[in-house]
Amino acid sequence: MLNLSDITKKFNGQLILAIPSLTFGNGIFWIRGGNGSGKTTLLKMIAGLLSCEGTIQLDGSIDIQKNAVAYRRYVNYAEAEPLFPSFLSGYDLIHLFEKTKQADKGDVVRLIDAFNIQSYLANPIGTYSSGMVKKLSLVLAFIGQPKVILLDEPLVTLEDRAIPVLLALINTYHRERNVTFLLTSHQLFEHEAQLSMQSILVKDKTACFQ
Amino acid sequence: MFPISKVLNRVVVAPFYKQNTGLLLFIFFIMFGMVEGSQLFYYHLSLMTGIVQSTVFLSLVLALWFVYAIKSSQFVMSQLAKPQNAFLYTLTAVPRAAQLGNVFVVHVLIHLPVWLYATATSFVAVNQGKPAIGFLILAYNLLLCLALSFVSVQKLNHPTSFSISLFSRVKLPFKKPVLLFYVSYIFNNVLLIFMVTKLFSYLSLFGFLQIPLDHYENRVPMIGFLIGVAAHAVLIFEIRTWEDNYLLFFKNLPIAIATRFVGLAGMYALLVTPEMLLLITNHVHLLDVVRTGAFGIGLLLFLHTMLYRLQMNMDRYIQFLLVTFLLSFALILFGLSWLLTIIYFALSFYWYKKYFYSFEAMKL
Repeated sequence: MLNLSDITKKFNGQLILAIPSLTFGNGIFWIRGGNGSGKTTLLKMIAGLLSCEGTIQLDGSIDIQKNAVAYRRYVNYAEAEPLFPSFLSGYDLIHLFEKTKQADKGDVVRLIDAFNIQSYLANPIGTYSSGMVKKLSLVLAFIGQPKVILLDEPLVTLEDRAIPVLLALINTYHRERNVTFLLTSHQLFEHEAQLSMQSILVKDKTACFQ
Repeated sequence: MFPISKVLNRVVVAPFYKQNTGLLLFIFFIMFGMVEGSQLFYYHLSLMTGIVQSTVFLSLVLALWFVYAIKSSQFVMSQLAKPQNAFLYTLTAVPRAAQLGNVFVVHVLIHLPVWLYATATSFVAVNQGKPAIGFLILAYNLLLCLALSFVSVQKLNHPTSFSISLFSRVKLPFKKPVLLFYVSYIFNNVLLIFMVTKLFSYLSLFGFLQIPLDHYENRVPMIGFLIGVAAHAVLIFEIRTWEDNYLLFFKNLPIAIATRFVGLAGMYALLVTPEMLLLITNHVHLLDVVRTGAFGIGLLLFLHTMLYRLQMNMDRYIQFLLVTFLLSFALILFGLSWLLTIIYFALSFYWYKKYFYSFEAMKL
């Protein structure tokens, strides 16, 4: 369970988001909202990439600030348009995530196979297309023992045949490992995915269940 | 100016000078700002004479110009590879000779700081009866610009080639630790800044080590070391900018702040290793080498974390750097470098802990 309370986020003194209270139980949540409504900001705050005022807690006791390391072990994130150092290889990043997120090696191999990215992982990321970088970032988001996975626009730049792979993974991780997913997407993939999703609307500088 | 040159000027030349303003100002300061105005002419005349008369000095300068040319060429390549500059490939519609001419102008303009110094040095060479050296200097730079123009035209016509630098192709037989991410960044992206910084740092330390003393005194090399380490300020700024742009994912990894800080200290320890080796080979006591090294790592960490506090504001950073330098200079003279080292480490860790997660670069 993920609890957000008394959240305010400002950029240069300007209020971007104010969320008095929001609780995500175990489930798959579709964060919706127009351009610039604050969906990505919300995900980045939950991922610990952006700071905010207020409290974000996992399972009632793991606080994003007080238990920064434990929190980050359980909350994974994939950016909409991931930016990685071009001179690193995919393996460099996978090994780093595997080690820090204390991942099972077999899981990592299965993820690599599922997205079929092994053929280029040894090459520098600068040689990848945007779709290849996207697949790498999705693999990184599933690495470890996450309780929450945040996927910002997971379908953007993803090739058609990788979409069912991703949706199957979301289903499997949710059903078998009780992983909660928070997804943002402009694409209506609910039917395709056959995912049972709850909808969260980010609008008027706040977020609430729809 | 012809339309093609005009476009290339705006897309390549202007951004080059804009992006490298810090480095060029730094070089300008080293070359012209550290010498008294009245001595400036004779200072550079003696430098140029040194280049003309000494083969070793000449080779060193030619090597430096080569590094500058390679790095500026990498910038041209990266500009050509940017998606927003994809329209430049329409230039391939004009004949190769015209492409080459226009690209050559770009390289000559980017190479301009070198051209100015090289031309003046050639005049000195002719005046001192060594016209062959003068010719060699000009021909060398002309060949550099021509060769790089050929490579750029090749890139224009075959956009997928030469996209990645050689360093990133090097495969290591072990899993790369985060420390090496930074090293890779330095070698791939800021090699020129790194080399200029190291050359200056080495010369500064070497110069102070040559001061004749009638008894052993560690404060003298430490002052030289302080000047050298302070010259790393531009490199640290580049590293911090890179962290904010490309290592955002790093914040989501479950790594304790203390571990991250130790890793950062390890990276800076690696960075000052060449200076440490110079101290060891110049018979500085081992304990003093350790003290001086710790001081250098502390100062680098201090500058790194100061940038969090200063919101990456370059102007304020330079001001704080000056104050830090003067205070450090005074405390070293009073023999209190150990105190300074403790302060650097303590403040750096405090700032790192306070700002690492909360820092957000101001995007203008």
